[in-house]
Amino acid sequence: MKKHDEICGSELISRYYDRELGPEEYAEVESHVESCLRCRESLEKFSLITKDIKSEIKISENQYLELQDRVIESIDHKKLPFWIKLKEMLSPKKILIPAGAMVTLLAALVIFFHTPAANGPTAIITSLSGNSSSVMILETPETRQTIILFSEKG
Amino acid sequence: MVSNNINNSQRDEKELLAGLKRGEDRAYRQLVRKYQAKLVNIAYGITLDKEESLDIIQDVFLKVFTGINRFEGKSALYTWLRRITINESLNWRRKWKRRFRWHHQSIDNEEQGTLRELGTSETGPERTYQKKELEKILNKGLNMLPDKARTVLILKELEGLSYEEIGTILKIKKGTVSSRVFYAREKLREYLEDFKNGVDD
Repeated sequence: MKKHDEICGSELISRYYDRELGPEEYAEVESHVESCLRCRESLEKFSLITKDIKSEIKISENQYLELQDRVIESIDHKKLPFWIKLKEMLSPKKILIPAGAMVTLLAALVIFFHTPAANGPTAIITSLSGNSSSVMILETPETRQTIILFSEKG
Repeated sequence: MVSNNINNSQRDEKELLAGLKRGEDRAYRQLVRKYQAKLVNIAYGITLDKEESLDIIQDVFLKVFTGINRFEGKSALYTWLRRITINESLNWRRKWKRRFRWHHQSIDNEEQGTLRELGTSETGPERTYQKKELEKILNKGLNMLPDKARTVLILKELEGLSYEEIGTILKIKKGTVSSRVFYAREKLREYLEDFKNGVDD
């Protein structure tokens, strides 16, 4: 025979609600519930939770219909022979549009980031370093350039 | 009379299975119509995401389509579908948690504020509004539960499965099912009571 405290507010109440007790335990809990307001309230709350879950955890009728169409469509698609799926994959819309976009993107990147190679110096002819500045003289095929660098420390 | 019904339903299922194995359109349509509502509700109960549960069920039916010839018929067709649905939903939930753990936390934190706001500013809502609110609150309460406890509760409440059956599906002991159901109910009861008290205040 279980004591009042062993039953009251315990897991047994939940098992009683789910009818997951053997006949003896069931009778004991039932007799307890009849005299215990707290446990009767618990059972009422459990019953409300069941009702709420059943009524709220569902999708709308429209969504069921939508799902049905989606499933049938995806199964139909799965049934298509491989070569048709390949053809679909290679369809102009699926290939040409992304390819066009990729080419445009690459072209844009090249335009923005590519700086044409200047005619680089063929050689540093001479350079002079001083306390406050340095001088470099560069030679390209067309020109001869003099670069003066000022030192911040100086 | 009862045994006649059982025989009929077994024969129907046999015919349906044969149709599915032959790849008949009609059989797939029948399968979807027959089970989609129950399956999507389970997926929704576990993921708590309507859109995602639709995607999951679409994948479940596709898996059935590709794997029907491997189905040996040891369990009922629906039992098999339900098992795939539960596994897919739990997998999604795990992936989702890994990817968006930080986001998940922030939603939980937000919960308190939203509830207080609802409790103080909304009075006398209409029926449809109440229904939407109830769904939102219940959704939040269920979301607050650990996945393992929520899954067990959903299978108990939506499917009416016994602890034994739930234990078999989830590969856990009957006693574990019992304690998880109890834990989930108690937490949900506290959460709904707190919410109700907030409204009453």
